[in-house]
Amino acid sequence: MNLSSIAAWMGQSWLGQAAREVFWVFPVTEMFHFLGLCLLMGAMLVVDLRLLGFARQVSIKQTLKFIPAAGIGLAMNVLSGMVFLCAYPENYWPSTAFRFKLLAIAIGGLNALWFKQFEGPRIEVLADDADADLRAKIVAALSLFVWLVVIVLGRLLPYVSKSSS
Amino acid sequence: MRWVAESDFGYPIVLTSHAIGMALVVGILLMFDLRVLGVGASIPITAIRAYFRIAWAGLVVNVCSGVLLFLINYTAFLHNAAFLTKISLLAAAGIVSWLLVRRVSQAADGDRRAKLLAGLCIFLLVGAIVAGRIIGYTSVPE
Repeated sequence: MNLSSIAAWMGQSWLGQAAREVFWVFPVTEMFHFLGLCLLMGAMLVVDLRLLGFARQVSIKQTLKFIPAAGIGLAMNVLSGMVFLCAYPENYWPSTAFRFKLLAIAIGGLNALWFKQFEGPRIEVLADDADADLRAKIVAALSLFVWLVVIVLGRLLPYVSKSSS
Repeated sequence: MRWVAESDFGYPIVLTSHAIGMALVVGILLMFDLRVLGVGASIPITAIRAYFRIAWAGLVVNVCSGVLLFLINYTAFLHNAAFLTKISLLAAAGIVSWLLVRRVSQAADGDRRAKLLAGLCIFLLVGAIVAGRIIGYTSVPE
């Protein structure tokens, strides 16, 4: 199975057909994608900015309580993103912006897994007003940077693919 | 304005700024509303307000980018029901957020009226996102 046959299969799937033919499916999916983006980014701002030394009056370990909101946002966006991909696979697969976006999402996901496995447990034992160490700060900065890049690439995608074709 | 409408990247750059600003304002406001509704209840509500500086920065980005997008085709926007709905919902969300901030500085944590305001604020923000997406389908500039 190569990339173009996967793309063709996605386009012919019932999901792809529904997203193209039922007029409200695509816009409603976009609404979910935007809301998911706000949940993911909002929660990451609360956690990552505190790790970077902002809002020191907020307990560093309590910010971790907002991580489920980021998880829900990410899940919403992966699912809604699949709908876009099935609707018009030919617009996404060949696009450089889309490939970089996938790469950025993969880095963001791995970074989040690293955070959950190795940084979270170390932060749980810190005092409320503690400062995170350099390692945790690097993970936090990478998280904010990567998700911002994902937003930028996502928004530029339709314009970049248009000009390159 | 001609730069935004006519250059190859002017329009997408302004749109991208609008999306980033949205992530900052709506993201932080949603987290504040969730906190009032009970998420992370051991964080004092007043402490969470430290993040409002980020939301303000996002608001400045979005007012600037929003005005640029509006000026590209303002006559069409002024007659666009989705646009007018979005602006009304955002104005209402601003007022409700202001009332909510006032309420939480006076009332005890877990106050029912504060929770109602937080729920209303989430509803208005989601409504503004929905209306904003509909604009793209009803009045496309160029």
